[in-house]
Amino acid sequence: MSESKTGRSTDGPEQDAGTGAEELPLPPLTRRKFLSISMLAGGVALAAPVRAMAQPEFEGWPDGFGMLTDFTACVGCRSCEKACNEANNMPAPDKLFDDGSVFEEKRWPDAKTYTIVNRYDNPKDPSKPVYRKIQCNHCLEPACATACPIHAYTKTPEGAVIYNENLCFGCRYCVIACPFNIPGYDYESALEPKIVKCILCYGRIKEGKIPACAEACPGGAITFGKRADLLKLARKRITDDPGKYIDHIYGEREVGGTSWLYLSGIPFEQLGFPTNLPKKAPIELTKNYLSSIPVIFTTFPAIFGLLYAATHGRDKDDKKESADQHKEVK
Amino acid sequence: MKQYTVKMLFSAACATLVAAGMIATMTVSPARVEGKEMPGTIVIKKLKSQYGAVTFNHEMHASIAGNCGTCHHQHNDKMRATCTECHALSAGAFKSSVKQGFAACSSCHSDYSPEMPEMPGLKVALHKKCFQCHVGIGDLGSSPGACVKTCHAKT
Repeated sequence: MSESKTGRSTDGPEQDAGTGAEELPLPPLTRRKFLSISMLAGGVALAAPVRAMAQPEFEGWPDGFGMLTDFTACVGCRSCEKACNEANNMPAPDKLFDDGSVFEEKRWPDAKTYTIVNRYDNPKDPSKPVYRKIQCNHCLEPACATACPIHAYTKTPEGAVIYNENLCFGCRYCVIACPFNIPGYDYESALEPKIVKCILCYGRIKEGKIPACAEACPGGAITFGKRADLLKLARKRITDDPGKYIDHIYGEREVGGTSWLYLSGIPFEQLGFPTNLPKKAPIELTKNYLSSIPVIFTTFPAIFGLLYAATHGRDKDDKKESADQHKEVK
Repeated sequence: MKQYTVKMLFSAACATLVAAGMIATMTVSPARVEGKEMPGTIVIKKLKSQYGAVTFNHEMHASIAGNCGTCHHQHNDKMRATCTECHALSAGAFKSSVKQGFAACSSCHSDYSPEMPEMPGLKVALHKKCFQCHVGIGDLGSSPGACVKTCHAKT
């Protein structure tokens, strides 16, 4: 053993420099120890993502509430917009809520409005336009909450995705992350920036009331209830009247499912809905990778520290030996 | 002699209360069409403070519809309600309610409850019936201003 060690080490350190740990002529005991420790650490590092993959997909809180918007029942009265504005103490609108001229353009929720209604042509019956209500969809696994670097967002067990505007420092990651382009940003205050979006009237839900828009809707286009019940109701409506509805409940599977569900009589893409969204939540793409980060941070310093210690120690031995040889030659 | 169960008595009490509520929130003038007794004009006052009272000419609508079942649906779909949940229990009251044709909408459609999302509240139940025909007539369905033009005093 001692001969082989001496023989290899005299081959010269330049040869070993770039060949990696496997070919390093380490002392057998050190090498074995090193390999066993690094394999153990590697095993732990590999096991963590596997464990993350084995976790079942999150399908929402079991008793979470939701909303069902049935576009076939909406007559464009804008009662929901008015009720939302009043319930959330939003600023007065530029045009009154009984003004139909707002339908001439396609609007979008912003820092002053949690929800808006847009008008679309109805290819089935041009005399009866279709109205689409837009607001936060309250994803089961919200991308905004995943993207927020300071955890200002919370997906509550009740279903609402709420946020703490006092924590928000205006990075707008949520604006970019949202697959539905919902969070509005208040540009008017540079010192106190804040994100604005529908919170499913979380305060009202906690008080046992129903969200303001659902309460105000006269035509039954917005129904509040347990998401599981609303899915059954939506399926029943499609089954009972297949000619009236597109056979699709938007929000059942999109981006892992949303608390807000939709039924429509015309294809969703004609109402401006994104129809190319994945069926899995965006977090599914990153959680395996992200879950390995803590393991890497704890094990990699140990692995590379050992590697350094092993190679550094051997260099010292080499220098000592070559120095001894020089002495002997002298 | 028929035995009255607690549930039946409870249902009767509920029906009486609902009927009392109806009298308090609606003013009904009776009329007769084809020998059947039915409300003539109904003044709906339930949301008077928000939207003003709504006067509904039941007689005129009934003559246009031609068939009570166009609007009143409880006997022609798969409702879960038993007879006694809508019609009063005593023989006289039952006879009277059958003679009148249909139970009041609010017998089943009261305030909306999230526990039963399939059951619309009274407001939605009434509006759905209006929208059944009125969407496309005048501005209804194309302008939010139609609510005032068609029925309501204010929005």
